[in-house]
Amino acid sequence: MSKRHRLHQLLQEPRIWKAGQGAGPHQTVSTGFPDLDRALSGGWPTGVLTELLVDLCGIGELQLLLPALKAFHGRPIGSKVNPPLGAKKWIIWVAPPYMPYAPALVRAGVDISRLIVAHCDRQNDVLWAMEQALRSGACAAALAWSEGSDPRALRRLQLAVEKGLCWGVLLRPARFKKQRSPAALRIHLLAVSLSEISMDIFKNYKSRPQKIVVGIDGKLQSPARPFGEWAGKQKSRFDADF
Amino acid sequence: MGGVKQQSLLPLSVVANAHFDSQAITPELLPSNDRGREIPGRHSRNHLWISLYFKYLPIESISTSRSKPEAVLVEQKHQARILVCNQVAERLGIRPGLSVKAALAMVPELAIAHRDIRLETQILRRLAAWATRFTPAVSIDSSNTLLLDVRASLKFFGGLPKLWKLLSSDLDRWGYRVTVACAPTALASIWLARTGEHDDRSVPQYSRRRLAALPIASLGWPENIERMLREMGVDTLGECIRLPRDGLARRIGPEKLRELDQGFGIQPESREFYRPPRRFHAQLELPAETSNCQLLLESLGRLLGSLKIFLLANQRAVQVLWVHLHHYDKPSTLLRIGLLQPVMDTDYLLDLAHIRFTDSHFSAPVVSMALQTDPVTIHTVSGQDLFDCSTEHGAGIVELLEQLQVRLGSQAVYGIRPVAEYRPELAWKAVQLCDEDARIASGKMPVRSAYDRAGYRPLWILAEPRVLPMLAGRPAFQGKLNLEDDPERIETGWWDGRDIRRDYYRAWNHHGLRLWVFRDCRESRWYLHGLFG
Repeated sequence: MSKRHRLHQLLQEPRIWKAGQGAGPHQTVSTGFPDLDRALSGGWPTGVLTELLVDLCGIGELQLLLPALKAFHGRPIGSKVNPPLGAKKWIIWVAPPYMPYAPALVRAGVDISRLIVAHCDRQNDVLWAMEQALRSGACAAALAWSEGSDPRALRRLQLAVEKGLCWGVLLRPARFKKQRSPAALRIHLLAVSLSEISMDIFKNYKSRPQKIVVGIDGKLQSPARPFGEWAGKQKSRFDADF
Repeated sequence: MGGVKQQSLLPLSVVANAHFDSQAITPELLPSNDRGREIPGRHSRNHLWISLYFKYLPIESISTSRSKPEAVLVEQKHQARILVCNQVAERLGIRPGLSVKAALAMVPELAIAHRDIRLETQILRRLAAWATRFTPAVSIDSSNTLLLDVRASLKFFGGLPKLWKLLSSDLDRWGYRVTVACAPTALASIWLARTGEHDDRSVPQYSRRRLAALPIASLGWPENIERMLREMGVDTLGECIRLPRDGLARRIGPEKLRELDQGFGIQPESREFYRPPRRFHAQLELPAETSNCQLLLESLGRLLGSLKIFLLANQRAVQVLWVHLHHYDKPSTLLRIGLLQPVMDTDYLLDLAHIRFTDSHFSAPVVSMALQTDPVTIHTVSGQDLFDCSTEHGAGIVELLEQLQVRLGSQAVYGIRPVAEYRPELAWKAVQLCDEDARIASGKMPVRSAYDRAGYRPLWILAEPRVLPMLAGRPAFQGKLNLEDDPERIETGWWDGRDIRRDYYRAWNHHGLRLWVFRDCRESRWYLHGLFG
């Protein structure tokens, strides 16, 4: 009896994080991929920070995010407390590795009249800009490509996302996988083939960690060949030397 | 001869049609041979000019000592005479007009200074800026007099006594000795104030008898004209205005006669009104040279405080701020803080400056700081629709963009738009998001345009196409590239010299990257232009 009591007391500790008990009634944005929706219990979460760890930029991570970005076409995001009537919110991309190509984005269905692109010279500007965007309440989604690892800045990002109740995605090199991060959802992306990406969801605030493979539209007519034999040769290098 | 309605914000002199009430000019005061002439401007509004004559400004601008006798001299006909002196000297017997030698003989410890007209003008302009609180029609006369046309403000302030109470309490705070008078015409009020003998703290009253009884000396005309009038037996203004006009015009000149007429309201008068400066400029010396951001921000906060008073007083809003940081030996640093919309809120400007200052290093310690603005604009409060919720979020995005631009640079934050163009690198453009139509336009872009009917386009594009090295006969980017079979040829652009002839291929490498490469047909080289996904 006392053991159960002690266990119960231990579980009430705020320092213990329990997976499976959601942080709150957060809205989710459907990812557009049914497998991923099921794995994430609904879709991309709003109000918590999502972290995507990729080795190389361009293996298809933007394709993963596209269906959700399309969903922001004129759609307000907010809690039930004060939904803005018809107020269209903005999407901001902070420090993208290359220039977003407007014709392709238009063709994909993204509303680029509400898109802001911000380039940063310094790394701490990247996290700062994302924090400002999330906190301002004018953005429905913020994507940032960062190589920084300042834990305080990450913690502030998490608080900003909670305050702004928007969709925040931070893309970082895969070498930060081992580092602790306050993001509630952390996924490591690897290219399995030209049209498939393996997602290792190793921290999930809603359910247990899992690994899935998602098929994205490669838009290339070549046969989908798995790179099993090449997977070991992948260097964990984030778009570095060109 | 109808008058022009006085408008408050015209730049230069405005024809102000002033006239008395019909009781003011009694038939006796009119020239006898023009009794039938109609008083002009009977249909226009009246005016009520309050004039503040700062007689002691020359000495008060230089020093405000209450214990030592001081005086200011003026050169008159190669002889130095006393212009004004302070109260201590007056008690000791010094009077204006005394020669300096005599004054020094009377009071050996008298301190004498030259007049500083620039300082007086500065003080008068500051006083004029204060006076705009009561009326927009403020005029500075050359004889150290400030004129306020308060007729239009009487209703707002609830009558002349209440207005006068506010005015006099502020004047007491300024601390200058001032003589006050009021009259329906500006010149008359100047004349009345000039002959006022002491500071009058009761509500100034106008009476036409007092105007008519003023001595000729209050007009401030040259001595020979005064003497001539005195010899003619004319001692007061009332007698002067009754003289035959053509004879008087021949003797004193038409301009002097017109001045007299304007003072009595027979002719309209014009005044140049005080305009607030278009730019704000203030400087602050730091107590010690420093490169500490916190201290610099505190000093900037004080400068912004005076900017706030300036903006509030003139109802203006500022859009671009320049902060000059002066160093001892090096050329000064210039920081620009630009906003998307004009603002009056200096606390917000301080926040933006905070963003700008933190994390930035200055090349040398700062000795003094100056704040300057671009020409300020009239502050307009945009009407807010009751059901329009977009303003609420619109304000948020504007502030976010301003904050980002302050820290990252104004060219680093932009939006993108497609351009109808076959050449891929020109098929998009960056737009500044402060553009009104960029913000409003949405849904007007075609999802598919004729220009990209041909092939797929990558989601990422490089700013400049990058040359790819060849590896075993194939282009390589982090490994050999495998190319798709059907290229897309783009050959266009001959009209502006940037013509291209390229074969675009989709390629992939063994890391899983999908790339968009092209082969330039003329140079036969391979380039990387974009990445899919």
